[in-house]
Amino acid sequence: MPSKVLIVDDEANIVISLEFLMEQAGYEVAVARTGEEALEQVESFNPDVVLLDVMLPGINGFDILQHIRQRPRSQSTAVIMLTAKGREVEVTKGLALGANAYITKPFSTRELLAEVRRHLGVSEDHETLTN
Amino acid sequence: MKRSQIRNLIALAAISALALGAAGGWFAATLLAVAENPAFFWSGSALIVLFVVGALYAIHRFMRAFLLDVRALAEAGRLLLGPNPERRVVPRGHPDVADLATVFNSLADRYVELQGERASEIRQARADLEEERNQLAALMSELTEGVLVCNLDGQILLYNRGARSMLDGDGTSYVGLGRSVFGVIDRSAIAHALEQVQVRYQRREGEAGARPVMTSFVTASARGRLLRTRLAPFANQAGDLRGYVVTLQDMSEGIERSSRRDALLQTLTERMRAAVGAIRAAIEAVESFPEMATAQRHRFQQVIYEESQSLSAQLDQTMRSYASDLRAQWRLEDIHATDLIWAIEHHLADRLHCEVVLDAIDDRLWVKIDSYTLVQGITYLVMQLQEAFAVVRVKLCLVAVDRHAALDICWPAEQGDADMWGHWKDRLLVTDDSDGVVTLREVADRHGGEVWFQYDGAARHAYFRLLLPRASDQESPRTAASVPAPALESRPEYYDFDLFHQPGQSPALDDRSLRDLTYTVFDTETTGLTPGIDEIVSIGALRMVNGRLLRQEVFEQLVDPQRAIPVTASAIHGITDEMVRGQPPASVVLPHFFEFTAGTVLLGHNLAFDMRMFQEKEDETGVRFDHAVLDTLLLSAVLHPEEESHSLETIADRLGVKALGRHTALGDAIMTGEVFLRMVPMLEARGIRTLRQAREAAQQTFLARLSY
Repeated sequence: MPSKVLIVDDEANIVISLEFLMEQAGYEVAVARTGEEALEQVESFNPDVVLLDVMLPGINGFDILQHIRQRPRSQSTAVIMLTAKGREVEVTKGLALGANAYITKPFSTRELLAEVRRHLGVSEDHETLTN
Repeated sequence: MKRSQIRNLIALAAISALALGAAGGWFAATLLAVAENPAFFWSGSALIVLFVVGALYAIHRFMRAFLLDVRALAEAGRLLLGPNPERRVVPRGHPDVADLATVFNSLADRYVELQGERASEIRQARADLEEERNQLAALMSELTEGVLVCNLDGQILLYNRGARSMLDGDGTSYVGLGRSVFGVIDRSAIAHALEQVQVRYQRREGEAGARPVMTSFVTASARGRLLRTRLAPFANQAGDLRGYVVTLQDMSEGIERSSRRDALLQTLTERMRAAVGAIRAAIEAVESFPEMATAQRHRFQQVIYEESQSLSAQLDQTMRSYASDLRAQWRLEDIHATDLIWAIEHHLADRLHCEVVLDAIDDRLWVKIDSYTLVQGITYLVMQLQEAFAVVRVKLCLVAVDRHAALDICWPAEQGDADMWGHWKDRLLVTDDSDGVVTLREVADRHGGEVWFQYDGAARHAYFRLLLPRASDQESPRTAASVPAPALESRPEYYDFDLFHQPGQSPALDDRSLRDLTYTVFDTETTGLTPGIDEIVSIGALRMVNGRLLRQEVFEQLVDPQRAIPVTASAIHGITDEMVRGQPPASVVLPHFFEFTAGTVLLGHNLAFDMRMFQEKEDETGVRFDHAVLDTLLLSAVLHPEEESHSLETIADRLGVKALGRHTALGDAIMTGEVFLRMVPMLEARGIRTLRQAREAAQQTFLARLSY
């Protein structure tokens, strides 16, 4: 059974790439484009990893993060903040609220995938992106 | 010599004369008894009479020479020292006394001469001081920073226009001579700063060449402006702290500007991160999966295209926002036509090695421009001409065209290319003196000018024409741009160092001298004369500190009476229903006026009426004017009980005060103040020196018993 990745971002152009890459990596992928959608997906899809943007219509990424961390069923869910908000205070805030990683845009897709795998505890053998 | 001594001398002389007469009679009687010769008797008697008269005359001469003439001399001396220094004595009588009188007159001449010299020295010193004060006042009023000087009690001794515009609240707090600085700057902030500088000042004492002690803090004004405040103490020659200087700088604008830029930068960064993030992810996806389906690849290409478009748009947007932010700071200054042309010419030659030909240059012309940016803009233009048409030589013209100056940059061209303009005008390439980036179009706009391209087919040359504003005063723009000379008549009364000696507000007002008190002189105009029915339509007031009417510290406000103003009332004060429409009502104005009058004695003419009008509003406004008051009408009755009229005009006329702006509240208040200032010495001559004495005297006048 493949691990489940939830992509939360309102920018369609980044979602296209993220969705494609995660699918190619063999994950089951769901996409949320607003804060509310994200909360619903957390409940229904029950992802293993959430790629979470901060600036979203409605509820912002930090609030979603707090929600996930307070949810008993999501204790093992890895949250990777993936955002254009790159000030040091924002990184600190994200990590303090319980994000497993804080990656600022633009990012290396390879490093992102490595981060996702690291949190899923998958060994290097499963790597699909090796050249 | 005292009068009693003179009388004693006269008595002595009379007794001597009688004794002589008696001796003569006795001698004659003896002779008669011996000779019994009548002829001898008559001649003897005549001799005696002659002798007595001679003796009396001698005594008279003696007394006149040594007593009366000397006395006149003393009297003249007294007059000379007092009211009449021109008084001289006629030298007469005994030569010694006459000589004394001559010496006395010479001394008196010398005295008068010295006194004249001293008076002229004092006048000169006063004039010098006055000039220095005027220069100080003019200088202070030109400063953009606010400046306040306070004594240790926090009383304001000096302030400038800057301080007032920064600190004056909307009717809630005022900057003014003798007012407390704590009314306009937070007391605890000042107290803390003062404590700091006092400690540092004491620690520093004795150290040679120590730096001046100063501390700074940020405070908010009543109107919510953020002010950077510096406080520096100053001491007298003995080293005791006497007061402090507070300088104020409005940070709000700077803070707003920098936070606008911060926000701009942050938005730009975030949007760029997002766009570059999308592009990079797309490229990496394509690179990682070269065998992906064409449709999928096409989607990624589309992402890259869209995001790079959005990046460019974002950059342009940021540049525009930044440029419009900079526009607020552009400085237009007067420059002479030849100076501008010289600058352009040299810049083009140095930067672009472009030959410049000067054509028509109007050397009487002054333009009002931001010369740095203009020169940059023209350099950019010529650079483009060099690239596009290999232009090596341009011709410059600068002439007056109506109210503008036209600056032409011409070059030889075979044909016009109007499209070229479309390309250039909006390109973001000109750097101005704040390192801002603006378009050529904006260079023209910021001058309130225009720029266009034109082709002159006949002359076979193309040119850009920039229309620029001319300096307002073509005759003497340098004077117009220089600091205005202080107008002596309207010199701002922004300082009063006598307040150093003011005993603060602590001693009971009642026992303070009329000269030392701080007054608010005021007057109101109303819809009529019946308190309770009629309403206030205008209040005018100004402060009087240390015997000076402060024409800069005024309160002048129209009041909406919320009823119609009768035509008869309008005829007196000229205030109509139209004028008070939209003005605040008494319930708003009176609390502000109350603030304005804080800590002062209210002074007015027939002020019982005004006070009654205020009283009528007490319930509505919640303020009670419970100040000490003085009424010039009653004081006039104290000074001239025999006069029938004590109207303001009559008193002013009686005391030689010129009527100005009568029947405006402020005009009447000023007149009342001037009348009072002339009354003070007259009251003092009657032994009325303190507020209590003035009030008691006023209360005893008949007029005081009539009241509203």
